[in-house]
Amino acid sequence: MVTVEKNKEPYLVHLEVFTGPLDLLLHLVQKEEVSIYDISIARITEQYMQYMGNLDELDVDLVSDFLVMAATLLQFKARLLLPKPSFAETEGAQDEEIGLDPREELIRKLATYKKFKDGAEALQKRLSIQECCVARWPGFRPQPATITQPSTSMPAEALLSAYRALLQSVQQEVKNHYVAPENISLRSRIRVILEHIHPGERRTFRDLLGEHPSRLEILVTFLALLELTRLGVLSIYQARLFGPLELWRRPREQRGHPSPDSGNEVKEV
Amino acid sequence: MNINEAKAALEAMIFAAVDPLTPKEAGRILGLDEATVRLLAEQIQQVYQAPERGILLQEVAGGFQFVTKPAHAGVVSQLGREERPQTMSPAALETLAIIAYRQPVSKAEIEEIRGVKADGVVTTLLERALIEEVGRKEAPGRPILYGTTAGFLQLFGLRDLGELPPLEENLTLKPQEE
Repeated sequence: MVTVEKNKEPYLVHLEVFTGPLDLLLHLVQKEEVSIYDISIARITEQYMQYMGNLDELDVDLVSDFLVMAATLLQFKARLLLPKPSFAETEGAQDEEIGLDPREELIRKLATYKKFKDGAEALQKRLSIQECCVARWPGFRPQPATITQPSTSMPAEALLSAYRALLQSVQQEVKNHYVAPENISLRSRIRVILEHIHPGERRTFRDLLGEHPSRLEILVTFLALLELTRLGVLSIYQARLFGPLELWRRPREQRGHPSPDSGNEVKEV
Repeated sequence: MNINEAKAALEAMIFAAVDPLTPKEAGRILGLDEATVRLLAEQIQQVYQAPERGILLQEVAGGFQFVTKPAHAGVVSQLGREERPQTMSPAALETLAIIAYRQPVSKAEIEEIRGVKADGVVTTLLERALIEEVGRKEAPGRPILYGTTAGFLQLFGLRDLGELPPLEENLTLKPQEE
């Protein structure tokens, strides 16, 4: 193993590791193993510039804030090198740039930043503790108005009769095997839906269809439903996967949350 | 309604509630005052402290919710529930810390402390509903002020903002861990 002299160690850290220029500065101070109060502006500026110089390429978006800090540091360093303005000059100067000791300003910035960085660490700890406690799966959020829930006591006979009704409808569909031209427009389906469901009322999707709906009828009705939902007239709920679609027509005063791109009214569809 | 019935009713409501159930809401439904609800909740809490119970009643974001005990995190995590939203980036945590401790706070103040533009992180935190707009600062441009939400308290398991870990002025740097 090759031992590298400590101060000549190249910075093998990437800019992305730091959340900002102050984070990088803090890292450099930490490397020096000194307290924030003991930092030397000249030394820290030199290291910061060296670090910036070692970057292969400058991603402007990422690097701009770091460059601002580099400029600030150089300004601080320059101010320290310049002879201090005499007392008489400082007294009259309203300009904070002259009044404030750049080192103090940097220390204050770093101290404030460090305080919140530590706060972030404390939050992170809190987060990992809380992640060990799992709350119940939120699941389906009940809507303010009650949706008819299937009764908990469902006799087995009901299941049987439902099955029979289904069988029957399937058989009838097979019996009525004829091909006739169908003409169902989106506009007419929207009209049917609006006649069927009055403001504030609830229906299921099945209610909107005839006894033996054709594929086209189902399809166009569904499209009409989507259109009305987009316009903010209807809300659709489905309590469970493949469950019945519950439709709710908003009362007139509750409308007006259509998606932003829908300037058009129903009749223009 | 006697005390045991009230306790059972409260337990049922906490179990069924989507968000942590506040004593106010529970009190309204049960027709009890908040102090009584708290008393009942504490009694429920004690019951669940028993080692043979796997869940506990936690007070979080101003309400009560049941959560699994930390000791069972290992087995619970194997249930194959969808993973929690990915862990937060250091930048997001820093920003969140500033907002949590300094609220209400403007974007410019966050940027001043962190020395970086904050637009992206603030948007992400808003989208995750951890922060919200809480008003406007009476300053030039009337900048938006941000504060944390109940969702923030819930995520970090905090009863209220007073439970935030204390912010210490700790300037002695830890030696580099390398």
